[in-house]
Amino acid sequence: MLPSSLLITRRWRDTIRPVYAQLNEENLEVARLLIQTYRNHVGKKKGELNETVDALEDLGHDYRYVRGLSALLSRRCQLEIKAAIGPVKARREVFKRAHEFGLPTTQDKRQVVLYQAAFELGVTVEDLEKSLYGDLEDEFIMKGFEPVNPEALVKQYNLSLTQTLLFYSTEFTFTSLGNWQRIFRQIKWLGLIYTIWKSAGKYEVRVDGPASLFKLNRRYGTSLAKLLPTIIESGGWTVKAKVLLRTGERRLLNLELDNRKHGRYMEALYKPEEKVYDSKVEQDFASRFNAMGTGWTLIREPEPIPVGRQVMIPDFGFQKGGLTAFLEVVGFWTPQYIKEKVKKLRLLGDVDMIVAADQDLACQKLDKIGKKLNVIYYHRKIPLKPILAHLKAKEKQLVKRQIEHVRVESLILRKPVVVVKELAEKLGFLEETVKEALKEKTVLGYTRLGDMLIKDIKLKEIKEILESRLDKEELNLVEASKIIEDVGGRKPTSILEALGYKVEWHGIDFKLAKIRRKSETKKTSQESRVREC
Amino acid sequence: MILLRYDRGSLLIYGEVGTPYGQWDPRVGAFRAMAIYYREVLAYLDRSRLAYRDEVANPPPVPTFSCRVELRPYQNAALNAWFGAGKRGVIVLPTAAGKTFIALKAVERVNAATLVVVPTLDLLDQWQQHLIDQFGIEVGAYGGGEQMLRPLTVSTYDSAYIRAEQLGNKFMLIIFDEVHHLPAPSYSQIAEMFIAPYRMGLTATYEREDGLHLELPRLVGDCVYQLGVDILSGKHLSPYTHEKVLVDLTPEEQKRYHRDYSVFTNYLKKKRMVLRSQEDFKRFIMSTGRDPEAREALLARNRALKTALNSEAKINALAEFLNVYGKEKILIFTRYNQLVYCVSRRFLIPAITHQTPREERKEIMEKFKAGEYRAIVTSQVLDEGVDVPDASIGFILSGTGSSREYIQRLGRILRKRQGKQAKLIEIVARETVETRISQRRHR
Repeated sequence: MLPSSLLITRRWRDTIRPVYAQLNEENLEVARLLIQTYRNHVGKKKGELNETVDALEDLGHDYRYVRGLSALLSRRCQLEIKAAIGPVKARREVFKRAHEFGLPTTQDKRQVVLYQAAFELGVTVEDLEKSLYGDLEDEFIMKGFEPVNPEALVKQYNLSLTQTLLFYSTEFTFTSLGNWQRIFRQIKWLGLIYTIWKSAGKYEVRVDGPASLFKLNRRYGTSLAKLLPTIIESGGWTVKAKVLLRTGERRLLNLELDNRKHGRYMEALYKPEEKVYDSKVEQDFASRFNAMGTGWTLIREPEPIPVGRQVMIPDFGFQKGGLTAFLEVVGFWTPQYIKEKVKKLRLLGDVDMIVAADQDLACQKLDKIGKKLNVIYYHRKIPLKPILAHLKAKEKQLVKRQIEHVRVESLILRKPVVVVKELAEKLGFLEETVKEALKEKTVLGYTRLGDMLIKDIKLKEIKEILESRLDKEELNLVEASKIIEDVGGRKPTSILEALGYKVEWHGIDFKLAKIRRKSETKKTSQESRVREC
Repeated sequence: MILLRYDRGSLLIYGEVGTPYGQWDPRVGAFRAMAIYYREVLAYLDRSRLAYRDEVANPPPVPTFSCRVELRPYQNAALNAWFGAGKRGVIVLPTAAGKTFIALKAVERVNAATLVVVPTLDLLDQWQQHLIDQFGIEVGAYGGGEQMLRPLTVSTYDSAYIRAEQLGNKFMLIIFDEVHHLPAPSYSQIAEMFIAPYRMGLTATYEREDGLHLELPRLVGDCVYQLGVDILSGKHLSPYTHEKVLVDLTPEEQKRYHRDYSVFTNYLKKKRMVLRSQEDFKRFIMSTGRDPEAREALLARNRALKTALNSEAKINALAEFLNVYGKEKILIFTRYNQLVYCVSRRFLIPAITHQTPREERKEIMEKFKAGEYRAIVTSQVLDEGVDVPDASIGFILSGTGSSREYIQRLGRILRKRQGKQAKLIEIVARETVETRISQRRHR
């Protein structure tokens, strides 16, 4: 955030937007120059640094840009007071002497006073004069400077510019692709009020404050500006704000920003670590669930679910082929927290929500809603079993409903090889549904091999090639796979199996694995037995 | 039953009943009203004989206040006028006429949780001290890094604005010192977000140049009592004289001044611009963001002004005056800090600016009161309200054209003492824009 005098905007009719510093060579050069200037002034007076920066303003660049960058850099400095004696102490002594002696109106009298004071304090007159106002900002010594790369600096500048413009905003609407829990937590912490609705499949959130109801109010501008970095971290964001630039002015200006157009100019100073879990319990659950390979996608902090006038963001979402379920982990709680949570959970409506509650901390209130909601209790670890069972049951129900609508027998496929999973996605059914259907019926002209369908003609073609080769020579698995893949086949081992071949392994090397006709293998083993005899 | 609640600077009215000033808020599903209308909303519900539960106010528990303040007749009249107006309204009295005492007496008589809002940290310290001395209890403070809520609390305007949401339902009486600050667009929200049914405004300068004082009746109440300097001068305030001394810039300064100032005037001529009013000047300043030439003109003007305001010639003139008045109690005012520190280093006089640590500022003021220091040099922070007892000579080395600033500075040397003859001496650079600035403050 910058002083408002450094704000650069462009207005067009009733729109306004910040004029971003492009990431071009000229702007990066200014940034580099300033960073270098700051670095060179470590160990020197702040006043000297300020003078140098003032001079840089005259190089023909927009002074507001130069000062803006400088304002951001000055926050990266550590300053210290360097004085022979404490300035406050020095002043006290000098002023006391001056008043006892009579205010010195000539240089000679002044020297007398300073000499007396210096003697009393045990320092030289020179050190005393230096210390006298050593605690003024210009006299501070720059002790350290935390460097930054020019590109990041320019991007931080652009973000600050946007935030500075948002100081003047009266209302703020945004969309986001994620980061919800952090965003809503921050909204609450900043004392703002939100209204959420869905438009064109996306959640839009309007944010303002209690007093916004009465009149145009910029009171919440600073808070709205503070929200911006969290929003732009989410990716896929848009922001719309109403801006009241000057109080006298009765016209609201529109500020519209979009990640696709403006995202590349901005960067937040501090980025959160990826995958921040509220607790170890949640982290542990996520890794165990993902290791199961259930076909369900686990989403951390899924989209917000409106409950009454508020929203709830569950800890986890489960998604598979149009099915969704949520998991809310209730760990350590206070009575107030659980009261709010229960209130929200009651308002949920027909959302499939599993509540995992710590049994050591469980209390009556959760039991009350237990009948309506799916509550499971845990001790240290969230059990996978009931959750997997719940998801499995959900899947089965859907399969049951879908199965009548799948008509595999009338499907017309073109590709020689079709993977069932992909087919299911294309048809808009669950993979399990299509598999279930294929158990009873077949697709005309195709053979089902495990989780894929292969055209009968193709199968025949492969068989012919393999046979002719096998008649001449031995084939290993690498060669056989190549033959199959060359004619468009996939998953060679299942095809080989289906065509009545066997892979004879000699160690783990594919090249040493020999392809045998099933009938042949029996024969050879018999032969060898005969030979042994 | 209707339920009234406080919500971050506003009232929430649950229960399907519209009240005056209440608006339906679909975000929360209740009527919402500005906190300032708390008294009106309650009065309406009472008048309409509607049953309600009031959970709005949440002030800290209050002991019985008693103080030893004795009011002068005109102070008593002011306080009675305020009570007569329903414990609301603004009292206008010249600086040093003892507005603080009227307020202290009001605190005692209302005997409820009270917030005093002041513009500066000096005033914060001063009010805190007055309240502690009079009521003998711990006094809370918001501002200058302090955050402490007590039945009697003092806050700066800035802190009260920032914390209005949390503090808005904690006080029944709110006193705005230097109330002419209140109608600024941001500060007026303090008045709007606090429920305090009893409100007092204090000032020596009721009117604002921007006309916003017309908002004060809504925010605090009508002007209930007013007295001017002339009526009190001599009897309750010290008689004073005013003197203006013109000095010539040094030849080198003159050269620099004219070189810089002509850059500015040439630019105006070239653009056929005439700066008649403050609005014209504002427009010119806005143009400096777009036009580098305008910016250069502005910078040159500022340099010229600084040359005039910080002139070495003034320092020399001041040296001569200090030889004459060195035994009196002296306040030296400047516009810029640079000159404050220049005077401080040169004459070894304690300085007070916004950069002075709070503890040291307190120490300097105390020593000045005790007579250990006989002079202080300051930029603007002492302009308002702070008691500086029996300073008799004021020097204005430089200042703005604001007549309010002038009146405030004059007020600093007018506190009554037997036989005191106050003197205000302005030192102005001849043949510069400063002569015009000086004329403006005497309007």
